[in-house]
Amino acid sequence: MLPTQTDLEKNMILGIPDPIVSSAYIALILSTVLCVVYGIRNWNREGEISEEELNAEKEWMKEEIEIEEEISGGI
Amino acid sequence: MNIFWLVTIVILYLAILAYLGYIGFKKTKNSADYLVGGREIHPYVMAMSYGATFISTSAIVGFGGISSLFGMSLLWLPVMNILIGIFVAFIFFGKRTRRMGLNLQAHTFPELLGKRVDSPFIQWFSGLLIFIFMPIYAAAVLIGASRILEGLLGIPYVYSIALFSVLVAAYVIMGGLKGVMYTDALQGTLMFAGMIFLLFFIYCKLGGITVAHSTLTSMSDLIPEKLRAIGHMGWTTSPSGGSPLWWVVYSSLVLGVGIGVLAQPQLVVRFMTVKSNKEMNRAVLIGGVFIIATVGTAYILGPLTNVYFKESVGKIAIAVAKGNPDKVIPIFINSAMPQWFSYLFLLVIISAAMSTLSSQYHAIGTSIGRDFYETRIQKKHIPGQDLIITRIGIVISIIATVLIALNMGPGIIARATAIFFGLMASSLLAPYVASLYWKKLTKKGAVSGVISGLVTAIFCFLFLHGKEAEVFGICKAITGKTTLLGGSWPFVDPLVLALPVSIIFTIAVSLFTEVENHKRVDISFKGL
Repeated sequence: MLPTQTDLEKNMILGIPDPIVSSAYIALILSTVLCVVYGIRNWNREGEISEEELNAEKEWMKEEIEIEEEISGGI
Repeated sequence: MNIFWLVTIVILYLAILAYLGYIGFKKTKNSADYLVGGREIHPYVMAMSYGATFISTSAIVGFGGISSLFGMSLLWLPVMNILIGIFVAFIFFGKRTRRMGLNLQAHTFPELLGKRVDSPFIQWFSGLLIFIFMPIYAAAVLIGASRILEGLLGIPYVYSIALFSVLVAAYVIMGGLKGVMYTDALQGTLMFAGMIFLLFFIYCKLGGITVAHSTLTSMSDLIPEKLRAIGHMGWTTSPSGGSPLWWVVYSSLVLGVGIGVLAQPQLVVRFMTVKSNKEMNRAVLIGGVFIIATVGTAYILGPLTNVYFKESVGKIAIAVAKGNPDKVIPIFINSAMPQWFSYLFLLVIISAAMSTLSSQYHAIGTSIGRDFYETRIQKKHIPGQDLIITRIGIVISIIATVLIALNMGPGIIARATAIFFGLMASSLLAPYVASLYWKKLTKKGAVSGVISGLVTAIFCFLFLHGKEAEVFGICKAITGKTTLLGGSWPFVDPLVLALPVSIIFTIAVSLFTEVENHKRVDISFKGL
């Protein structure tokens, strides 16, 4: 049997009767906390890059600038 | 609104954008300068830039409006935006995309896919797909911005579209795409501040979080009969399981847009411009907070506008907006917020639209010039040769965007966004994931994944999914029925069928064929 509106209202979280919707509200906050915790824990990790990677990046950047020029003109 | 102050503020704002664009451009003017001074991009700039590109007027105005209609079950979409669009995207896709992009010297999403499996076909075909379909999404963003101009300034909708198109075209032509990270970061900051204020305002106005939600819960008897008939059970209640509305909310909006973000060409290229994985890690923090502040606010505000309008004019939001959900947020801002906020919100909206539109036109320009013309027609890279094609392509797509925007009906923003996200994910997501993680992916496997996903998605749009099948009328002409299947099928998003088909084809064909170019695989996975 489906729960009635009164049944649902008895178990409201933050004024939201449906656990699927209140879970979304809580999951929204928890997923942000996950991002914050991950960001803080890894704030200074994986910063070093190799000489070879830097050279590849230099080559890549040369062409990237050329592409930008083609799209947005020479101003 | 005082037109003098409005024009002054907008001009001042555009001048600041132009200045920031110039600074950004100067920093990356040549590769030597860039390596010395411009290499380190602050994670705040990086994350705000990604966020501003990701979140547009479509999310704020379109999805905010749709949530005023469908209710808070749509909050699962910002959950997906954060978990998939930020956490998974940066950590599991971003880091690999960046390194693989460098290894293959790829500058666009189609180029990355094409070079990874040594298939020019994939590059030009994906480029063509982006060029053809991106204007649908750009139109959604444009409509969102124009509805705000219409709602706040009283400018007729058609003129709003024209005015905003001219503004964006000028922005693009004057070099708005250069140093785009800095302008995007300013735009992201404005969006962040404006939306946070809006969240506090609505909760304070309605008596706090629990009171606001409880009042909304108590209004479930006001749901229009038409919505109740398709499964709407209340603004704080999930639609009835398996009902048409349930499929629309969870398959099209939450799943389609939530997963679709991973295969968005304008977002994938953002990963290639990041300088190290460290910045990617830092951006996860800032991006997560940005999304909850902007999109989270929009999806909370949307349903709560019903409480505000009920208390102020005795009607629910969709009745005030005369049946067009795209107008709910503009009308709310105009009638509920202090005037100074309307000015700020106008800048928020211009920011949200411009940052996304400029990235979309950037993707369109490279897809037609570099990915299609150079690979399919010219068949080699000659510096400067595709310049004319790129620019003509951008102009054509701006015109197409305006025409689509003018011809789309009410409440279309969220739907148009979902269509584009669904098409991209259906055809490109499976080959993209396999490219990043599976060395046994073959050229034939990737091509099969792209084609099977696209064909299935288009078939679903024309023959199964009610809204589009009705517009195109092909199914009706052939079979006499609007859609091939009845029941809930006309409401199931094409992605639900097309993505699994694409995954199966990508894997199965790769397993039955040989990797053609082992050297390319070794180059691709160097350092990974």
